[in-house]
Amino acid sequence: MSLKDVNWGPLLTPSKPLSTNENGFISSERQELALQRLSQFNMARAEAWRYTSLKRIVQLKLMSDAQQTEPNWQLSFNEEAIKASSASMLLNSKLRIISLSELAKQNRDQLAEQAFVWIEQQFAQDETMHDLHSLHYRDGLVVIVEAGQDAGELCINMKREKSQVSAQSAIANTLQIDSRNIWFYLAEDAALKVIESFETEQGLQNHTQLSLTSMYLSKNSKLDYVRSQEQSRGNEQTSLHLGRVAATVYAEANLSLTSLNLGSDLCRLELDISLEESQARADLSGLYLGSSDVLLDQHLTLKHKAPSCRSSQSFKGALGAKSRGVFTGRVIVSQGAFDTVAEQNNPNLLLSESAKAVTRPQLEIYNDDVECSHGATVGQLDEDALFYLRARGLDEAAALRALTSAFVGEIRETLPKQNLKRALDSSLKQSLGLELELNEAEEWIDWELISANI
Amino acid sequence: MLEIKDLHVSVAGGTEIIKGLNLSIPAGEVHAIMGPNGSGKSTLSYVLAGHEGYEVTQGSITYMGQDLLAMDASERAQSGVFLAFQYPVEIPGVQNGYFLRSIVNAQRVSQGEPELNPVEFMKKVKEVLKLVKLEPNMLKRSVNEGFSGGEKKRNEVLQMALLAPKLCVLDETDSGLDIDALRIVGHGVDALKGPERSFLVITHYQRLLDHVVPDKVHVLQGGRIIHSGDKNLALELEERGYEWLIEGQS
Amino acid sequence: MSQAPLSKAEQNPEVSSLMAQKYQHGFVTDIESEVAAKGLSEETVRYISAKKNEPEWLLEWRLKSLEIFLSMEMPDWAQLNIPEIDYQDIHYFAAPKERPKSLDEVDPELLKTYEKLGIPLHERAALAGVAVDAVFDSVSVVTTFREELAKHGVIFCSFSEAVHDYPELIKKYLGTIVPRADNYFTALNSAVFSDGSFVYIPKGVRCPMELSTYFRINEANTGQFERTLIIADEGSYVSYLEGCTAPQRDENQLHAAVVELITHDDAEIKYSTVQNWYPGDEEGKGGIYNFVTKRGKCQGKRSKISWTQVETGSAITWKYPSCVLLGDESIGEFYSIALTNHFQQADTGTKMVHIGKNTKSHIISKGVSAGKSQSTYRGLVSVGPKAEGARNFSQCDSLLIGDLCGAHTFPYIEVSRQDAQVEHEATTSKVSEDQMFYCQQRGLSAEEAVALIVTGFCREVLNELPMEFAVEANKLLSVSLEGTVG
Repeated sequence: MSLKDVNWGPLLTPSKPLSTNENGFISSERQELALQRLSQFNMARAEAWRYTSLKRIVQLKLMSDAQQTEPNWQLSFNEEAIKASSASMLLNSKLRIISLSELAKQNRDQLAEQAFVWIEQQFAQDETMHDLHSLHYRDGLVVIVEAGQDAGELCINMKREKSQVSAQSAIANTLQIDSRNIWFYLAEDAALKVIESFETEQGLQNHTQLSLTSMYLSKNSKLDYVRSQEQSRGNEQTSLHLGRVAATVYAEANLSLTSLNLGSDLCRLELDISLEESQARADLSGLYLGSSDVLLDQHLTLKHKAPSCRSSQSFKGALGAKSRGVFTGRVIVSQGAFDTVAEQNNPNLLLSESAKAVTRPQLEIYNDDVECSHGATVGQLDEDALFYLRARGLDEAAALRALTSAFVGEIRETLPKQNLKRALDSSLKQSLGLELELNEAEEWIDWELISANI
Repeated sequence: MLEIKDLHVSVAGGTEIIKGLNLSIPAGEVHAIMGPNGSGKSTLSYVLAGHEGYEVTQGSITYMGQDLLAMDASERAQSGVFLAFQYPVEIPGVQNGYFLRSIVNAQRVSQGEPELNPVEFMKKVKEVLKLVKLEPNMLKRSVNEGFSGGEKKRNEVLQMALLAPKLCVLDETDSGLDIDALRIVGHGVDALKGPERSFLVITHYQRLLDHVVPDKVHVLQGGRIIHSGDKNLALELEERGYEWLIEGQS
Repeated sequence: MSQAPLSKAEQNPEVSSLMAQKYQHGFVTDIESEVAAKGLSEETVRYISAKKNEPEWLLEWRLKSLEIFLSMEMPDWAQLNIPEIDYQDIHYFAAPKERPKSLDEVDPELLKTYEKLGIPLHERAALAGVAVDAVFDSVSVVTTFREELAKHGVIFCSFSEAVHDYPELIKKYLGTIVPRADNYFTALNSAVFSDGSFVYIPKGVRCPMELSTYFRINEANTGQFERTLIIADEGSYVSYLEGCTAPQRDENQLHAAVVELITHDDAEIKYSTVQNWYPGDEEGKGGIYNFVTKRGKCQGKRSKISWTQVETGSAITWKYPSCVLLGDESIGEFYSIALTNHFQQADTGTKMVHIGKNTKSHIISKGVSAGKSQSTYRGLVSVGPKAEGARNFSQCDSLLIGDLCGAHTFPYIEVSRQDAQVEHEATTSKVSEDQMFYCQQRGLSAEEAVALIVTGFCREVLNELPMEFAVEANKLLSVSLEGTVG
């Protein structure tokens, strides 16, 4: 088996022949270049891939283009469903959602032109996920928020149902790829909330999600982004998620990002955040839950390129069964990025004897006017806290449950939607056998209100 | 109520800390244990609460006619043994209100009583909050997290009042308190005194004993009780220190 | 607010003038030496082995190592910019021509060298009760206090002597802790190592004095490849100190050492290093490339290995003193200060490999970067599937002085045990302006204030050093910091 097969397996076969060039962004030259670079990529020697290999899928063949079907896209804007099929899906005074192919074709105004140029530049990058993506490019979505507008909340869900795979393709040894790319372009002073989620129906055959999410935060804009991902896993099939979230944050803009990684057989999530101008801010948090024998690899790079930026990272891993959790988080502070404050934290909880955690919090700092810290822990629950709960009469199981709930509770509280909380709860129950103590009703108890009314 | 006979305790797999301690506390009485640092006071409180870090190598503890050492930490708590911690543990992410309702309900279930719903619980807790001068908003915060020293100790007394234990062990509950906080805590404890409830008050100082007047005072030194007396002993210790007693020993 | 990344240091003339820091051990000693021809080949290896009159098995071992070396590639994962090294342009062996039989016969020039280094062998050894082995270029020149040590059954001699006098011990342990194929530089060292120290502490013996080795590179274009092996038998204890210096030269010189430690049941080795190889000048010219592999194996139950290092020298440092915690309840410790200035680069840290039950490790790393230097902590804590009850705590702090240097922290934590407790904490900050002001207001100069604050920052590690070394290390920190503030 050649080196390249060991690296990328069927992902190195383009989904569509190289000669076709039917969209405005990926040229055949771009594909050619990607193919060349990926073939030469030596995953075994790459520090960034130290704990992850794709050997689970190397024996598989790519499902033919004819067999491929589109997954089910569900979009809603401020709680109203948007029809996903039309080229220009939504257009109002605050924001527009258009397909990439439409953006390439249409007469663009200044804002659309800026977005267009930005996307072109991003696709041209020498970057592994972009290379993979250009081999499996399907049309994408662009969301543009007009200057000064607070657009509200956008939900984008990609669901792959079992029935959508044709019977013929459901044979073993083929791999289906769902590839998607979404671009958020926020003009100055704009604001948007986004919930992006990935789901698959249980019992799906070998399946790969290839996802690219990019964000451009102009001066003083604000983006709240929540990403939730869960794939059907186990049962003689393999699910693979390769995701990349990249954000460029300009002066005084504010990015809040929450990642909920509820599991694939193999999930690699790359987060690449760049604070480009002064007083930009990024707050990143995440939770990854490991069950069965999954491998969850979070790979995060955060660059402070300008003075007076702030960043925080809090990623938690709860790992059960034979799962493995990997966290690599690098904070890079450039020369000249004075007055930087960055903190990073990665606690891991091992919930079974065979689970494994790897954590690499990294600081790379080229300037002395900084306050940076990171912390990482791997272990079980706090023994003093367990004793305290038991000394108050909770039995051991209840005490363990309460503390585990508290461990995941911090992230859970920040989730903006009940359905996300429910997804997390059911995932906790299914994969870790953990019934959350904080049930829906409990959490909403307003003690002060009750107190005032009795 | 509590009968300790010839108790020997070691740190798990290590040195012996309590070396033949005898103590009997009848129902309704308040006993104080005083003694210099390192005499084994806190060890005694942990052993009574069932901490697994300590090993009882010899002797017995009988509580309400039962073998206390045969029970685990939560069983002891459910049957009415309460330890007010010297250093109450912070538990980030566990909401105090939720925590309090859980411990009350755990006790009720163990006694075959139905669980309290939030409104019933709130009625119960509201009275007690007044007793220790805490606001209802403390129920929304995480257990002990970010509490001041006084708030932590008041939260301990609050739990004591909610659980209505039979044996209360107060481990240096007065440490780290200013005069006002001490008065609130002392008043709270005093209000809980009753004919069926016994107290074991571990302290360095007389000042808590002004609020919770002891029936007996014991001096613990080198893992043994070397002297016992009435409430006046505490005053004498405050004045003269421990040395005269320790010298008398050797 | 957005401004170009201007260097505060460059703008300040006072700083530039202060940047000229002097290396105090930069002299060359004029001693007649025997030097092997440049170049790495089977002949070189045979030459070294023949010079040392080595047994056939050791020659074979060296030749195999050379073969391994030639099949390997230079590692590139460190956060270092290493210029290409021409392995054929290096002398692999240099020795003072006459080997002294005792201290009295030692070339007076050589003794003067050690005086200049601050190691007056006679007095110092006598006063401090420190037994000293001094390695000059490739060979060990003198070992003091040997007789005193022999009374306790302690063996302390040069590696070459040990090969002849204690072949069974060398054969049993050589390359078992650091296999020759472990990495590029261990393979090189295993092929061409010249000399070093050997220590054996017998069962139940607490070594009556601290053992000490001074290494010095004197000849030009010479690589130094020493090997140290310390065996602590059951229930024994030894504290071992190591110091290093080299003359000031424009060319870069290579130092690729291997240190192997092993502790049996209940034994303890405390290994302290003050590394002050020539760091190059303020332009980054010259200096030692310090590529060292140090590893200790806690083979026995309840045994302990403790590494303490103060790294202030070398142009490039690539060094990870490690502990393999094999024995149940064994303990590994790593205390490190790495100070870089001017154009120095350091990528250093440790590996704590927990294999046995209830093993513990503790890591304290203090990195100080000044000038245009780059300092990296890289450390692995791994808890294997059988390492029941393993515990680790790591604290890695970095201090930056000036806005042109870099400080990086790259921990690797791999845990396969549910009952493990592993904690890592790190901070990166600059010298606090409040502290500086406070010190200056009390009358200290800026430079004194920085030295004071840095010493305070490093205190936890300095405390781990034996008294003798702590004083020296303190002085070294101040000297290395000269010219870092304005």
